[in-house]
Amino acid sequence: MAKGRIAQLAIMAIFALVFTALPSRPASAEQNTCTTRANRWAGWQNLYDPGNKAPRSGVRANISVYRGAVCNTDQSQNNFSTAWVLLRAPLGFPSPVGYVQGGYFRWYNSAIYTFAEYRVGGQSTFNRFLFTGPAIGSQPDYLVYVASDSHIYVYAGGSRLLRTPGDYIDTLESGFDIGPDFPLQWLSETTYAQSDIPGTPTQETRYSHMRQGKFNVGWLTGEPDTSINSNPSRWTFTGISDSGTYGRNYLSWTYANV
Amino acid sequence: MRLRPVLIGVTLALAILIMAIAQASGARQQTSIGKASLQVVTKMPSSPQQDTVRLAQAIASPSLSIPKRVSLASGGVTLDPVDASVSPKVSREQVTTQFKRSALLGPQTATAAPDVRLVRLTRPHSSWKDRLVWAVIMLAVPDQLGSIGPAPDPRDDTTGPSAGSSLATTNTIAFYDSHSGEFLMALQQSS
Repeated sequence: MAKGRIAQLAIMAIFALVFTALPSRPASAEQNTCTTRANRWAGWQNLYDPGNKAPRSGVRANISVYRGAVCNTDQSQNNFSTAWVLLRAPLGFPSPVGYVQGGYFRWYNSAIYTFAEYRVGGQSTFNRFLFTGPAIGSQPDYLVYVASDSHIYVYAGGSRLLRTPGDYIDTLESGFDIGPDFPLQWLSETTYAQSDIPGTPTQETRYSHMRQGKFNVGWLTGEPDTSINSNPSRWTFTGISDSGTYGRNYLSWTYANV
Repeated sequence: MRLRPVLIGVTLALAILIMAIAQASGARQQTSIGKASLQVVTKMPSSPQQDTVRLAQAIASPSLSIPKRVSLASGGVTLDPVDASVSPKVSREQVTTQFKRSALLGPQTATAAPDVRLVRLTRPHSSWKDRLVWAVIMLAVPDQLGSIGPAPDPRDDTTGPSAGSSLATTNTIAFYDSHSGEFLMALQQSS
């Protein structure tokens, strides 16, 4: 009996040692010292439309909601962690490019907000809209698309967040009407390398039911063709997969606290 | 005989007017976007009055509410004045405190003084119609926000981080329910 007891205690001690020796997982509190502010992204995009069917005029996905911790020495709204879908000006348009996006967003010490943001191409100003946030663990449907009235709309979880004051020509093409064909992005982002994108190794952020809007056609399966990871020592994501449950989808998360 | 110079003048004026209208309504021109040379149609961009100006006008004088209806183009919302006799459950001080705690302004500064007005908020395609709300307005806060925005064009930059988007002077208007104190929405516009 005594031997068994000793063995039991030894096993418990080993478990305790292993758990304390494990590298720290991304914590829920804000963490780390912020260094240089430089926006970073991770995830998938459709930049070139390899199918080249109908023009791309919308982007859509369900994104699972998790809290990304941010570094703790910039206490402003510019220190953020966010996940979103976005419609941008055609490649090659001069900066500042027009864009319209929707997703969820938090910054230092804040709650999670639902947001929409847009900038008219060629202008330095931008507009941001914040709404009461989605619940952690939910998977709202985020979509940005050019509607039949030629304005761009943003929806989240079935609620309309935004209708751009100008049409897509004003907003994304700086007044040059070359038709509604725009690159699409499904990405996570932070402003500092020391911050977390939403999702952990055991609770990844899933972009599911990724779709592209085709002008005058409707929503088709998304066809991402390009990935970006500007913080690979800390973040990672999977390739695109197809499943009946999640449609076209991928997972992204913060895997290291470096 | 005296009519002839008048007729010539009128004809010339009409010709100039017609040319101006034609130019404004979309003249064809050749332009180059990226590597492709495209035949495009220029379109006069619509330039709605900046919401910033509307906000400044709305709070030009100290008051409980605003002097007249304000429509914010970027937010698609309409704000209407409220009669001075209306007494909301949530006080001006309570909503100001809540706004400051929300971190919507980032770190507090000596000059960050929100102006708080009671308004009736109407937002199309939502349940907010003539809803009595507190509008907390912060104008011209310097270096407040950088855009979220798109990942860079890979032809300009590869996968490296981009320089942080420049910080802009920003106006914020946040709406809180006057009955429950619940945060409803915030509009933020850089200037």
